[in-house]
Amino acid sequence: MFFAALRLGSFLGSVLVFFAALLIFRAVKNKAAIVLMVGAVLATFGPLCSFLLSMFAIGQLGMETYGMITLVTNGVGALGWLLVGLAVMMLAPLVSGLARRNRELDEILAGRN
Amino acid sequence: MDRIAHTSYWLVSWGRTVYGPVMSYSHSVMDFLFSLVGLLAGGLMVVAGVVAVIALRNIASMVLLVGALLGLLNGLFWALFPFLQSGGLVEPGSGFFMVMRLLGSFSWIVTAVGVLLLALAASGLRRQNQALESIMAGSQTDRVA
Repeated sequence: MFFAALRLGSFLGSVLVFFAALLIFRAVKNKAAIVLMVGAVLATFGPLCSFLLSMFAIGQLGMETYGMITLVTNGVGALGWLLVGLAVMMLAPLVSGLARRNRELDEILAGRN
Repeated sequence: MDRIAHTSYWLVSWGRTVYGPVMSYSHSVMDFLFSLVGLLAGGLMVVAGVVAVIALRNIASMVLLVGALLGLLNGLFWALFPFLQSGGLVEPGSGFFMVMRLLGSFSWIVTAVGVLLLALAASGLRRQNQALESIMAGSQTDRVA
């Protein structure tokens, strides 16, 4: 139960990242937003499958099959988080640039007024 | 495809070499490689968090940085876990082990909240930017008139 709760926590985290990706995609339609969205979907898939398997299907599956599925879902989840990391890395300079441009525009407008 | 297959083979062989002497039933070579991927993801997010903190200096960037640091710590723990286990420092099922698992899940939630807040900040900044650009364009038109 404890491990199922942990997987559910990771799943909720990746759902939040997916919402973040949607928001960013609406604001700036760029590569970082698409990578973030793909990463969030993959990161959601891993813990969700793991959670569902651990809750409902352990009894029906043999240990070997269960181990193999867990390995694949862990791999997909890890890949998803790596993509999220890459996307956040791409996004940070963009946000930094936007903040700098805003300060510049504010200064120009203050100078004119 | 050949290059991917070759890299995967090389990674697994490398994992076996590093990990073979301390491999246990609870942790396979693939788990070790996944923990390295998690470590890399955490590292990337720490760099992104530092950039965001420098640029924005707000709560969103700090939450992202804290989550990324926790994720990095968690990735480090899982990458080192077999070595710690073989040294008798950590046992699966012990209190410390459970805390680290909890920290792993918690770190992803904190990072996700940080990314969401950063996305909100980016969205707000973009809107503000567009508003300022249109004000600038408007004032230029007034001057010409």
